[in-house]
Amino acid sequence: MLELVAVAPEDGWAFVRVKDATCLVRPPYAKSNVFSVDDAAVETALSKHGFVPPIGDRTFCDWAAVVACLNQQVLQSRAAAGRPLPELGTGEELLKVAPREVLGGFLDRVENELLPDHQLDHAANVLTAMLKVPAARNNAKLCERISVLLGKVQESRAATDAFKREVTRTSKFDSVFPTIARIFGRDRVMGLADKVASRGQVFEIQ
Amino acid sequence: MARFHLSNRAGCSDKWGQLSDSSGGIDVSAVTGDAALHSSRHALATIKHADVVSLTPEVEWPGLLCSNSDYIEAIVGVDVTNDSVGEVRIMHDEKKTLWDLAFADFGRKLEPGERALTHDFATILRETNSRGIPIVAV
Repeated sequence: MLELVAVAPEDGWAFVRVKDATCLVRPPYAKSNVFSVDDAAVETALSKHGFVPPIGDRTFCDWAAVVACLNQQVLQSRAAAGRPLPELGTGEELLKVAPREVLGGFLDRVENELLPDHQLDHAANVLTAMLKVPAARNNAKLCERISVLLGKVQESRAATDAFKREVTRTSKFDSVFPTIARIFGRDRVMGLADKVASRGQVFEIQ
Repeated sequence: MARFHLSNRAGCSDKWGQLSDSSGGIDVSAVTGDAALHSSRHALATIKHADVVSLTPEVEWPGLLCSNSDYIEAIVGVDVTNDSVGEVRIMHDEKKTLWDLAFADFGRKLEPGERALTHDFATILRETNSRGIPIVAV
């Protein structure tokens, strides 16, 4: 059982009691962001650092429930304070004020991580967003790199589409996926594959 | 600007209170060795950390001056204005986490807690940029 003992709702920080220990959790929520603290830290947080006792549910059966609650509190408390969080686009917000070395670092990651991993939508999103940023648009070297990388995204997409067309031809499909073809049939499998591709996820959200 | 500095430790946030006598004046004997004018703040820092400074790599010296467990307190006699701020410091790991989240935002929808972090970071960068205050990773 996990018990919230103090929260900073707008920031998503919280002190959580786990059995006999107390820890501080903060976003981004991960094991590396959970810190053991003593009870004096909770008292100081409540008296000096703007933490408040939790309102509503205090006990939770697992960390997923704690994180869901804290995320909800971030949204609600900021909205109540008249400063609602933007639904999307904080990455774009940061790109607009990013220093030159960060913009270059993003391009390095597109080239060295996203493209080899075929994360083409992610890569294209970063690159097209960078084209809207004056600091990148007005820098010839950055512009050239963005252009080259967009070309690579395009090439990779074309190659993926060509492979897909080739492998989904009936004769090829039956030889590459013999068991699936025999049990479900190519048309049924391809219909499902197209649905997953169009909605961008496996399960349909009602 | 009237400024001076006090050797301090986390948890002893009211060092000034400890140096005042019962009539509200300054307890000079308590101040000696623990306080310095702004112009001598380097000497205060050296005296305070004399035992460890030569054993500590230079790159870690900022942590001696200000960390979660220890700091040197600045007492300022007038309001601190934006013009007084020389730089805003951020830890390398924190900075990396924030930019990693910004990058991730182009591949997935960030959780509200993550969005709060990146949104606030963007606000800080906009404000410091507009005032010409550098953000320095330490």
